[in-house]
Amino acid sequence: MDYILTTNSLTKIYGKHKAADHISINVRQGDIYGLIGRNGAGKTTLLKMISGLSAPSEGDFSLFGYKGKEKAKVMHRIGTLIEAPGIYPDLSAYENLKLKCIAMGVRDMQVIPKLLKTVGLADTGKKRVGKFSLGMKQRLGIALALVGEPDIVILDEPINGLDPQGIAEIRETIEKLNKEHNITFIISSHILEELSKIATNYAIIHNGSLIQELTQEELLQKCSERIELKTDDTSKTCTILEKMGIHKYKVVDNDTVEIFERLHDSGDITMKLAKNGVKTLKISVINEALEDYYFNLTGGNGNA
Amino acid sequence: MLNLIKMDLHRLFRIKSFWIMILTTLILTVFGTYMTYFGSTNYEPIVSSNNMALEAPDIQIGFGVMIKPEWANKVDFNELFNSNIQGNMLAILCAIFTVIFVNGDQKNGYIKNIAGQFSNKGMLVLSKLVAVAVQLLVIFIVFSVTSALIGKICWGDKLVFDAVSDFVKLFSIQYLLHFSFASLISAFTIILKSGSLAMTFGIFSAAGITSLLHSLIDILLHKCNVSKEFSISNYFIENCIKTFSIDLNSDDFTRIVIVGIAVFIASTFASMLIMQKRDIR
Repeated sequence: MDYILTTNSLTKIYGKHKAADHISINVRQGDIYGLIGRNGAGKTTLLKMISGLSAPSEGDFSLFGYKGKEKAKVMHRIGTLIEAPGIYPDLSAYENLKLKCIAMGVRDMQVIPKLLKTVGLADTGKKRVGKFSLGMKQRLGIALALVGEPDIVILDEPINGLDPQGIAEIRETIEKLNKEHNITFIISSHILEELSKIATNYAIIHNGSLIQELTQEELLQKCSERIELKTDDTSKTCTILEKMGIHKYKVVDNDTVEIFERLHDSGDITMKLAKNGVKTLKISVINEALEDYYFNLTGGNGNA
Repeated sequence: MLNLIKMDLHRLFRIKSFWIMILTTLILTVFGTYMTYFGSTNYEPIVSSNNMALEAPDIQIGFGVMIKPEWANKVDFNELFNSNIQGNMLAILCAIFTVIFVNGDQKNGYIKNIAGQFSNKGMLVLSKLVAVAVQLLVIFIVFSVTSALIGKICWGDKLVFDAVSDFVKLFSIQYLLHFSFASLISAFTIILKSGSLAMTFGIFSAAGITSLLHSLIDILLHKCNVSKEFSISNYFIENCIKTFSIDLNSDDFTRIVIVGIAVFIASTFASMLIMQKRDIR
């Protein structure tokens, strides 16, 4: 599988504190990759290393196939919004974008009105950025990250402090850019519910370590409603399920099968198993919410 | 690199502090030149109790003007220019502007938008120094033109522009020294990660407060059998700004130019190295 970004045991140590501990993630072109973790989990540290703002203490990452110092050739293909948007408050949104265009060697200044339109700031004119609302500043930060048509856009907590409408607008912008321009997004957030609405892949980070990397399908599967069935013969159980026309199931361990369809047919399933001499040890319908799943993984119910 | 320079130059002409500094230079030059004129036409030497004229002290602290008694009859523009510069005004403005400009993108976080894209982050320092050099050049031109105009208004025909080549030399060396001073302040801003500390240091040293420290070091060195002729302050950029004049002997002239170049190279190298090694926060 072709990954455009692969981190290999990225580690960052501040004094005695390991802010990121051997984190290895893989991102494909077109992904909306969500980094989940509570405040201080190490998300920003990881993103800063990937953005080139911070040097790893250990490990490395490859970008578009380039490793080590060779990466410098493609670092311009990354756009970043790390923590609060970095903007000159005395300048207008246009001027802030123009500065980055000049730095990135973008000569066609017609891109600026387009970028402002994309993030919904087309009507701000000469208004000083210092007078913008938090949401407007955040959107300008995204526009700055989009200067130079990057292939990867890194957004660190882009919805922090936004009202529900602002969150929805940012989400729509990201989805639009991802679909229309095939831009890969790496987004960190501690608001799971919001991230789950757009992300295609997830990495769960806790205490500086990567706990799990999974696709949206895998996460939904883990969090979706399902029948958990424990029997004395798993292999025979599978044959019976197939005969019943149940194909969406997964063998979890030696005696457990998870069934993802016909959730109301647990009675029929146990009857059929009994008729075929398979003893049902336990059958129940379970439903784990995204947050519960996260808390079970990280062992707590803190800030995420 | 060229793009970064273009960006910083674009920013330079759009920030308030650039125009405020020029306006301040204009006002202070008018004020300083007029004070010089006022002092020269009302000159009274400081005398001791036995009626001997006292020499001016070696250490000058604060912002001020220097007056020569002969200026009541004839004023050489080069002397007026240099005496106004030696009054610390440009060095203080230079320190304030450098800190504001160099610290600007760190303070508001704009640096995070661009730093990752450049493999050599030291270039971010160089591009800012180019912009500071341009700002300083504009300030020097405003200062020279205003000094000439106000001088002409005050002294009339008594103000003479005799040696253009000397003026070019004076302008160039003082510009070099001020730029070196700016690069030193820039290095302090980057290394200390504190605009207020760097600005305090810049204003203190430009105003001559650090010369008290130099005197202490000199006393210690002289106690350690170092020649009485040696003075550490000769190797500090702020003192070179104050002591440089076109009449200096070639040894002192060379020393001052070398100090100017050495300070620029050392402070630029140090700040580029720190910027390259340090994480952007």
